[in-house]
Parts: sequence; C-alpha cells; structure tokens
Amino acid sequence: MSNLRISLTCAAGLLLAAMASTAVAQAGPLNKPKVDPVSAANGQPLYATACAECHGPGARGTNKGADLMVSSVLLHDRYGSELGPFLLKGHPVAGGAASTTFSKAQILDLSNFLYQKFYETLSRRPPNPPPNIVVGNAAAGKAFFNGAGGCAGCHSITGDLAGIAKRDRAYQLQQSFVFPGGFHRGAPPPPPVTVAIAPASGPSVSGVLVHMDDFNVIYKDSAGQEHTVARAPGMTVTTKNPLAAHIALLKTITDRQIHDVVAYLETLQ
Amino acid sequence: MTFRGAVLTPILALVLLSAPALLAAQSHAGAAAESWPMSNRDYSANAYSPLHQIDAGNVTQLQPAWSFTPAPGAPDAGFAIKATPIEVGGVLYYATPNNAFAVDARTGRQRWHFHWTSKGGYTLGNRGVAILKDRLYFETPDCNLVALNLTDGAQIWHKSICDLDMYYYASAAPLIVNNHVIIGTSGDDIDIPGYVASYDATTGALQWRWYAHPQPGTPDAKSWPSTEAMLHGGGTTWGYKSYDPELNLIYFGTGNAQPVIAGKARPGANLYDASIIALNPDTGKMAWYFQATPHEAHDWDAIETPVLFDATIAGKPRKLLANASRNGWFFVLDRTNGHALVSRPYVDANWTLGTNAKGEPIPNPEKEPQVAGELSNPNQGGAANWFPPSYDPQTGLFYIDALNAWSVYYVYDLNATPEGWGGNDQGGYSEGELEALDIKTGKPKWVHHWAYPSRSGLLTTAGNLVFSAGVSSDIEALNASTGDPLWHAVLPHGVANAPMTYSLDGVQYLVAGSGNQLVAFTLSPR
Repeated sequence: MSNLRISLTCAAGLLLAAMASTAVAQAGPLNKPKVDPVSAANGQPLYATACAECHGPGARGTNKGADLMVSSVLLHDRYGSELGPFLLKGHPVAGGAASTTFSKAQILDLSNFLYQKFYETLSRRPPNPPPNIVVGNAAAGKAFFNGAGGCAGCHSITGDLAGIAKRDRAYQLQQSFVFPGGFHRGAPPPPPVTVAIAPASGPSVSGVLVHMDDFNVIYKDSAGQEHTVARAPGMTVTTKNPLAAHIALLKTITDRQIHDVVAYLETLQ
Repeated sequence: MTFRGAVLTPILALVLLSAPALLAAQSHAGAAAESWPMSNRDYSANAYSPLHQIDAGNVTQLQPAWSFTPAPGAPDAGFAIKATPIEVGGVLYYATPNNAFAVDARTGRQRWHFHWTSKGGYTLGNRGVAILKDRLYFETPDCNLVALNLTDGAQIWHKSICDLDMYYYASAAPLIVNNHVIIGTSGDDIDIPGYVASYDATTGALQWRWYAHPQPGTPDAKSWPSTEAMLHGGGTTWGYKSYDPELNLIYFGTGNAQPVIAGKARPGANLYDASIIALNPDTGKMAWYFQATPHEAHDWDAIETPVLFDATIAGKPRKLLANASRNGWFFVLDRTNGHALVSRPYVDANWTLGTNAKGEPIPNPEKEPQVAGELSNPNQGGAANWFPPSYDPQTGLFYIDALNAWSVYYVYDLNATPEGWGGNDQGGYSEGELEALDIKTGKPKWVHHWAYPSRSGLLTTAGNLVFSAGVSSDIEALNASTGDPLWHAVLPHGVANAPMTYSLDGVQYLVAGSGNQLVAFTLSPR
C-alpha cells in the first residue's frame, strides 16, 4: 500500500505534539488536595520510618503492602479526612509508634507527602534529569549518515551540522533528525513548501505555498504577494517539500539506525 | 462553492411551525429513513442515511439554512461539539461537557438547555445523548448519568456511574437497549480498570457491571503477570457501541492498557484491553472478545466504533462487524463469534509481525516503546480514533478518515513498577487520508489525500455522498464511489463531530458541529 500513502503532489503537514499534557491539570475532582510542600517534607521521614517497609519507598507497594498510588483511602482523603480515621483505628506500622498515637499534624503530613508522590505519578513529563538516550553506535551512525541514509547529500558535518552537539541535547538531536521542522523550542522554522500550478491552458505560476485544499490553492509570489487560485479540471498542482527525504526515511529507518545516527551526531562537538 | 462564516447567521424560517411533534417511543432497531434517532443513526452504528434528496449531482447547490450558538457567557458554553446530534420528532438533541441542548431541527431555535454543575473531570468532549420514550440520557465529566425530561429538559434523576476521586471521568454516548441504559467510562491517568455498566432506564438502578479484565484464576487471567496488575490494568470504554437485536449482543471496544506506554512491566497479552467485546445486554456476560492490539503499549484504545452489517463473503451470508482500529488495522469479524475474516493494516502500521490464528495482529517486541526512543506508526493519536466512521451499503465500502502518522515513543518511568503514564510519544509527522475500504478484502477502493492532516467523523448517504471535515475549517462532500471532491463550505470553526442528516416536511437537512455551533444546510434557502 505504500504507493497509496504519499501523494507527491500533495503537501504534507507536520504535526507538533505538545511536550506534556497540560490537560493533566484538569484531571480528577476539582477539590483534590493541594500539597503543602513543607508538610510533605515533614511527612517524608515519618513515612520512611513507619510505612516504607511495607508500602515501598515510592508508596507503590511491595509484596507486604498495598500500592498507595491507587489506594481508595488515599484518593478519597482530603487533608487527613480518610487517612486519619483509617490509621487511628489501628494499622500496622514500623518504627515503634502505633498508628493510633499519630497526631493530627502527623496525619496531615503523611497525607501531603503521599499526595506529593501521587501527583508525581500523574505526571506525563520526561524525568529530570532526562535518561541517557545515546545508546547507538557512532561509527554505524556515521556510515548511515554518509551512505544509506542519504544525509550527506544535504547536510555537512563541517557546515550546517558543525558543532551541533554543543547546541542541542541528544533528545533534541533525535527529534530534529527524525521530525525536522521545529519540534523543540528554539529550532529553526521548517523550510517553505513551494507549489507550481499549471492550468489546463495558459501560463503556469509558482511560489511559496501558503495553504491549499481540494478547491483552492493560495501561494505567495517572489514579491511576497498572495494569490488564490481556484482548482479547475485539467489543472496540475505540484508541491515540493524540502523535507521530503526526511519524510521518506520514516518508512524505512529502524530504531537502531536512529540511535546510531544520534550517537554519531553527539560526536559533533 | 464556498460560504464564509459570516453568512451562517440564524435565518428565520419562512413558515410557521406546527406544535412540537408528539414524541413516541423510539424503535431503534430500524430507524425511519427520515430520522436520526441515535448517535450513529441506528443500532448498526453505520452512520449512513438512506436519504437522497441531496445527491452527488446537486450537492453544490447546498445553502446555509440556520445555525445555533449557545448563549454567550453561559457556563461551559464554549465547548466544541463532538457529539453527533440526534433527531427525534423535529428536535435535535446533543450534549457538550456539562450541557445538554434541544434545538428545533427546522429553525435552529433553542427549545431548552440543561446545565450540570460539575465537580471535576476532563472536559475533552461529550460524545452524545440517548433517548428512550420521554427521557434523554447523557454522561457528565464528573461521573454522573443524568436523565432529563425530553420536553423541557428538567432533571428526573442522576446517578453516579464512576468514582471521580479515582480519576475516572465520563464522556461516552449511552446506548439504550430495552430498559437498559448502557454506559462507558473514561480515565487513564492512574491504573484503574475500565468497565461498562447498565442502569435501569426508569429508576436509574444499577443492573450489572462488566470489567475489562478476566476473573482471577481463569485461563484468560494468565495474560497478566499478576492479579494486582490485571485488576489495575485499564481498558476504558468511552467509544460508541452497537447492538444486534437478533443475537441480543452489544458490541464495543476497550481502551489502552495500564500503565500506559511502559508495557514491559506487564508481560502478556493483557486481556481484555484494546479489544472488541460482545456482551449480552441483559446480563453483562461476555460472549466473545477479539483483541485488536495484544499487549497494547502505545495508548491505542480499541474503542473505535464497531459497525454492523450483513454481507455475503465467499458465497456465504455473514453477520459482520467492521472496525478501523486506532492501531492502524482494519478488521471485519463474524459478529456471531468474533472470528476475523479480514485483518489488514490501512496505514503504514510498523509494529506487527503478521497475525495469529484468530486474525489478531502479533506485536513486534522490538517495536515496544524504549527509553532511547521507538519510531512508531501510528502515533499516539492513532490511525483512527473515536470519530465515527461510516459504512455505505450501496457502495459496500467502509469509510474512515485516517491519519498515517509517525511519532517517537519514550519510556519515562524507570521504576521497576511504573504507574499511570510511564512514557509518552513526542514529535511527529502525519498525513491525512480519507479511505474507502472494500469490506471483503480490506483494500482501499480509493484514497483521498488531504492537503494537511485532517480528521472528523463521517456521514454517508444514499445520494452517493460522503461528508467529512475538510482542511480549511470547512465541511466537504465527496463522491462516495470515487472520492472526488464535490463541494465544501467554510465554517466559523472546524468540524469536530460527525455530520448527520434528516428530513422534515420533505426537506433534507445536513447538520454539522462547527466549534460550539450547529450549522445546517439545505438545497434551497430556508
């Protein structure tokens, strides 16, 4: 089906995904607890002493205790409202002190600490610091760059890519290479798509593509003037995307080759 | 022909309307040709209308008839319309998050509006309402099923259908079968199990609940590494559902597995996530499952609409179910038993190693998300998503507005026991394609390449038309047999739902959502 997938006369768009879901802020109930970081910090050592042995250092459970990140008691708790009665009726804890002796302040601290861990679990963001993604073979990446990948046909390690690893982190290098066109902040805008319009009769026109659909083509001429051309029978509309080689690569490149190229680009300090 | 948004102001009807039609009990099994009484018109969910006043020869003559915009400043009035309105007795009914509306189908004038004061939950969208006799039912983001009086929008009852504190929310269109109001649930922020449930249409009492995981100790439970993982394994049920009255089975899909993306912590097929499910609506007992994505690890919910139709394949009459899944594969199943007759990718899906004996795709373990990045097609948004597809019995084609999309998936949660969203995809490149698939082979008869990525629900009609969103904040009509673009109209906002159609007083109306507005077209000005 690959011949059906890309129309050479059809400009293809780049979709930029959001770095992280802003919608997470809307998740759950409106009255979900707000974490007091001071109280949460106070709760950390109490949790470590009394709870971590069974529920684990991250409160995600062990074979001795439940995963608190999906605990009904915790998720219905509001500043100790559920956690307090649960602990004060007696719950096994480590460290000597019985849970029935926990003060209201201690329970609030535990609630804040656990909700802090919970909200960390809700996050869809990359960890900070980010994990190392340079796992490829730089020599293989260099061979791909100069050979099968066809990269050297447009790019030069002494030209546009000179010192690129000093400017971009590995993660940015990978995204820029696989999806060029400005994914990461500060990246240059994608080069413009151009269009040539040949009517059934009369002269052809061309320029930078502004927008097109099934009925109209809007382009900008060399003077910067925008023109709208209504599509008509017999008209040929041909676009040229400078990123076409990158787009074509998506269908063939392997994850190993991506990792190798990133390792090679990382050497361009 | 292009209509700019400015012309889409409400247009007064030239005729006085009779009193509202008496609303009779709806028989959903065979919707009258003129009406659109369910989200996807009838129980088959094929989003096809036998109306043909508007056809491929005259569609260019469509004119704006009316538009409806909720009162500015009203609470939650700005949400985009993702629900396909339903038409009953000359009135359109639809919902947006926290709102239900009744709008005169001839004029676009508001009949009533109901607002729900929410206690939270995502407001990503509401996918539709359902009607039984004199009541309308819809779900709210904060996990309630609300029953309203159809004539004035007064609340009759509401029932909690999921636990907002556990980060569930509700957005699905209910399905009504006899006295059952069958609901779906949403939410994958934390590791919770998905389910469908049935409520008594009269009283709102819970009748049954079916969880999207096997019972502990059963053979299917071995598809999980532990009972704990299975009981928190996801599989929400927020898509459209269909129903076969003869077999007395409802059909729906289940969502992605939990934890999301970080699938290596839960080896196995992870049943019944990312599956098409057949259930008895009276008991909630599962008849069969077909897992569209075994060991799902890319957020590929399989909640896309299961579309029902009958056809003869290899000389044998078949009761069929067709589904274009978010994972990029098109399936045609025997809906009596869930066996695949067609199983074929409809985009460049790069994650499989063929199919197993049931016709389910076999995931390539090398294409599981990685810390260092894994290039995937489809991307997280999927080749398809919740947007309704359409099946046209005249052409025998299944229409899907697809995205051929790539992104790189990263695993973020490096814990031994990842939870919630254990990774995400980033970046991407996408191509939009309206595909007309032969249901006997899964091969496209035609593919219309959009100039830019585009996606909406679809409508097909006996006028040999398929209606879709275009790429210029417009609605577009294409020839259903050839894919040739025929007509479009630029709207104030993009179309985020599926267009629908109905006929009143001998006039066929075409209606679509445009942002928070409804817009209607007819062949002659109203």
